[in-house]
Amino acid sequence: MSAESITLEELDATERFLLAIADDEFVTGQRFAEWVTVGPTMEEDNVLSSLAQDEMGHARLWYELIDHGRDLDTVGYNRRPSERRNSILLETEHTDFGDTIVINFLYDTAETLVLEAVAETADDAVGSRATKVLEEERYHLEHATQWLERLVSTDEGRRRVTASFERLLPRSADLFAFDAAVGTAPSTAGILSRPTDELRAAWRETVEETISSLPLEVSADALEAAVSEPVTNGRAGEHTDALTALLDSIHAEGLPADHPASGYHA
Amino acid sequence: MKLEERIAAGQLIESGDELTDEYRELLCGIIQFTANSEFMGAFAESEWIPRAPSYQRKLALIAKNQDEIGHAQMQYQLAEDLGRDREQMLTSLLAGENGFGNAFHYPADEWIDIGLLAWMLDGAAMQLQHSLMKTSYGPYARIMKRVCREEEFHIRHGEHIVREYATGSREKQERLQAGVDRWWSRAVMFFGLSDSRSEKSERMDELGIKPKTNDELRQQYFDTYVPKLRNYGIDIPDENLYYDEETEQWEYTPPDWEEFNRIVTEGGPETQARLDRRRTAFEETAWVRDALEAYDGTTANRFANNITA
Repeated sequence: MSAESITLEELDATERFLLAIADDEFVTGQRFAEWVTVGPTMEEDNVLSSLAQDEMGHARLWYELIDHGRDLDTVGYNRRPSERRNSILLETEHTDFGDTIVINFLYDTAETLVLEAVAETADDAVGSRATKVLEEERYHLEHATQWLERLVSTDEGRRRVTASFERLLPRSADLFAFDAAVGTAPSTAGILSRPTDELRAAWRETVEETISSLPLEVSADALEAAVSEPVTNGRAGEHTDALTALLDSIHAEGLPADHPASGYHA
Repeated sequence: MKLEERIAAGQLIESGDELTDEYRELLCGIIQFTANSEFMGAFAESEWIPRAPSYQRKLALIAKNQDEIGHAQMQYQLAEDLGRDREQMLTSLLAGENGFGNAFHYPADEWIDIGLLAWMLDGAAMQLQHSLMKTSYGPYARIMKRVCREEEFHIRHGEHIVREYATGSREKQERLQAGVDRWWSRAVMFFGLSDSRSEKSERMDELGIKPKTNDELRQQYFDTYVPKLRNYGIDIPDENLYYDEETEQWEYTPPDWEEFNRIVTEGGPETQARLDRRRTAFEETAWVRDALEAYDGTTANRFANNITA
């Protein structure tokens, strides 16, 4: 609560990169958890609870590596929007279940590529975590692709999923914009085995393939925006109001003063 | 042997056995009640997932809610096997036609309410669930074994929060006491009216569906919770509560049964808002179930998709 927040200056390049990865996971977990008990089916409630726990568990794995002696609440829970390095895609409010699945798909596709590139270069502590996380992400990605196939089975489903891609692809532009967070290219800093351009290109290929395999008409503009320079780069601490609202919702009014979350001030 | 003779002889009834209409009706009634309570309980508590006061508490609360949803799902499935329709059951729950635990008709405005729901109210429900491990319907008894195993963790999670408050700042201690003042009579009421031996409860007993009476369960609850509450320095808000050594029974002020009846029939302060929110969620996700149905090409069960993660 009163503990000093972590500052970027005290983190080295790898740690700054991991902070961005961890923030991605944390914010995603928070969004998935909003579905618990209000999902489309009870079976899906159960799955979304698992995904939320996985993501928040992954975030914890990374936060613990870079906490410099701070506790988990200081590092994971109580940092302000400007201190966060997650992609703006992940802070976006889910307006319907279609958004959830499209974010699940776009993000987990990106994360898999990134972590594979981490696992190839990293030392033991980082590499073994990346491998562990990758094992679970495989199921997350499968969850997204299975649902995409199902959701487009009706006119309404196709309309909604198309709208989600149109809305969310432009917000994906910072998924690989790690240079801003790290201060240099993560591949030259020895964090990633491949340059981020290559990862982005691979991501684009998978995304385009998946979209074209489905009865969807997603505009070329939206796809182009997803691989252009980000207008708002979460990796540089630039965020949308959605993140402020999300962090405010974590830090509710009315808690007694000595809970870890009580000391947060936006 | 006839059904009632088999039950009297201590045999378990299994799925596929021939049931009487009465047995099926009474059994489905209690299954729906326990399933609804799990579901509405999770729905009440999940309001606190976004704002759980620490990282670890948030993870624990998500895990707990996941368990409760799983319990509800298993029990609805059981009622489906007995011939009920899941969508129908949910629709009538959301229409306010079906009962669920009285506690979930009240708001949980403070974090300590979440602790007390998990410790005191899940603890009350556990007395019932534990007794149902001996119900005459085998599949239900086996589900209850699993449910009780997981509920142990929920109660521990709740007690952990209570202990944190009991040993914390003066503000926390005061909020804990105020919380127990709010929830105590609701916990006492959870077990239902004193055994007035309605015809229905007598039949539930004879058919071995509900092996323990309301009063037996309530006495058991006092046995466990009175010493625990006192141990945490909490005053129990009933000055007439004492253990009568002679009768070996707890004496207590009868709770406000009029309030109880009103709550379980007409709903409480939070009932309508919660049911409305859940109904909205149900309607907003209808398109997903429609898509599932179109994909599977079947109307058999719009709820049991087989997607896993």
